[in-house]
Amino acid sequence: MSITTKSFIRRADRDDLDILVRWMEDEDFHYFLYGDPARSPRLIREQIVGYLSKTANNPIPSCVYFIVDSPEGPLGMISLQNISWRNRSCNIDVYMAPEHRKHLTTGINILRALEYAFDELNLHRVSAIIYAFNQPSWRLLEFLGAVREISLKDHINRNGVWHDVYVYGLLKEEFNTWRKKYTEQTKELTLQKMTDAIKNHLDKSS
Amino acid sequence: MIEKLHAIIRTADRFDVKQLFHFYMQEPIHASLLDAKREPLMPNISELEELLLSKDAAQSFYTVENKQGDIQGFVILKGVNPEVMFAEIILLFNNDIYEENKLLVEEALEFIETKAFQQLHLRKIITTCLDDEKNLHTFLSQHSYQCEGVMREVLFTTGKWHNLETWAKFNF
Repeated sequence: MSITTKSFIRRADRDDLDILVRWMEDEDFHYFLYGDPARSPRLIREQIVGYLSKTANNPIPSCVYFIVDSPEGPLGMISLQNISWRNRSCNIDVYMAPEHRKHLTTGINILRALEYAFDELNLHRVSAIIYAFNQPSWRLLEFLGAVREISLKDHINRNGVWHDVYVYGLLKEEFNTWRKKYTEQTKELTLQKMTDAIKNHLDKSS
Repeated sequence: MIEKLHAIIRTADRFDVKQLFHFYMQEPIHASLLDAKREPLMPNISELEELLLSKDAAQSFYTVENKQGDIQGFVILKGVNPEVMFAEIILLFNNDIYEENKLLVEEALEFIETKAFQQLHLRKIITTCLDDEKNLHTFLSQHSYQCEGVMREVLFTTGKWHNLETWAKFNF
């Protein structure tokens, strides 16, 4: 049985800044993603503005920001950061707004972002740094074929408790093996299918 | 300047720049000299001179000499994070020294660990090591460092992929 979704990913642009800033105010954004709770929101905002304007027309960007969008509006953000063209690697970060944290939607769009990383950017490796308490995220990555490579013991402190930090790695060949295994289930969800659907929609509306 | 039995340890200064530059030119590449993207850095002499002149370097960058006053390497305490009380240490020595003058490296390690754990009260120090740095790998495992994992195929150099190990030691 194949799965379908109305959600899609697109490159983030400057018009997304307001929603990005709103997401940044979510406690979980700091708790799960950006390590230092004391980090200035203005600094993060400036950083995101910088990325949005810097990467727009750059053929060799150092990061790519995707908005996970839907007919009902944006659902979250996926970014490929620290892209190394020499090592053909990057880090992936994922944030979904609290009301849209559905495993399936998140998984489908991470899958598309990974397809973009491996098939379009021709990367060799995607890494993810995930806190141990963020079990849904690391379980999802494990489902997508990523391997837990590093367990940094008692590495971060949240609300007075020490937690481990995991580093996951997914190599292109592992991702291809995963895709082969789930070809039937994912055939309607691929980046290519998503792009075709957007093109069709644009053709019809013009 | 701290005089140990085998090593003389002192703050690095700009006159050490050529010896430091030498480490950036070496094969195999030192894991500790990779940047955040795991790419080898290629600084020039004047950039390194600037680095050694900076205030941060004065507090964390140490030159290790033998008793004859020849520079053998460097020990560095990097990225001290007071909130989570950890930092990265860098042992920058020729591969051979771990066999030929291990006692000197041990004294340098003891010095930087004392600084980290006793002076700065850090709870954890980490360091990295590429798969080609076999002697460093052995040295770390012999000195109570635990390998926390290996990032696979993270660096491409000399025509092949390399793995990167992360090692850690806690202040119990």
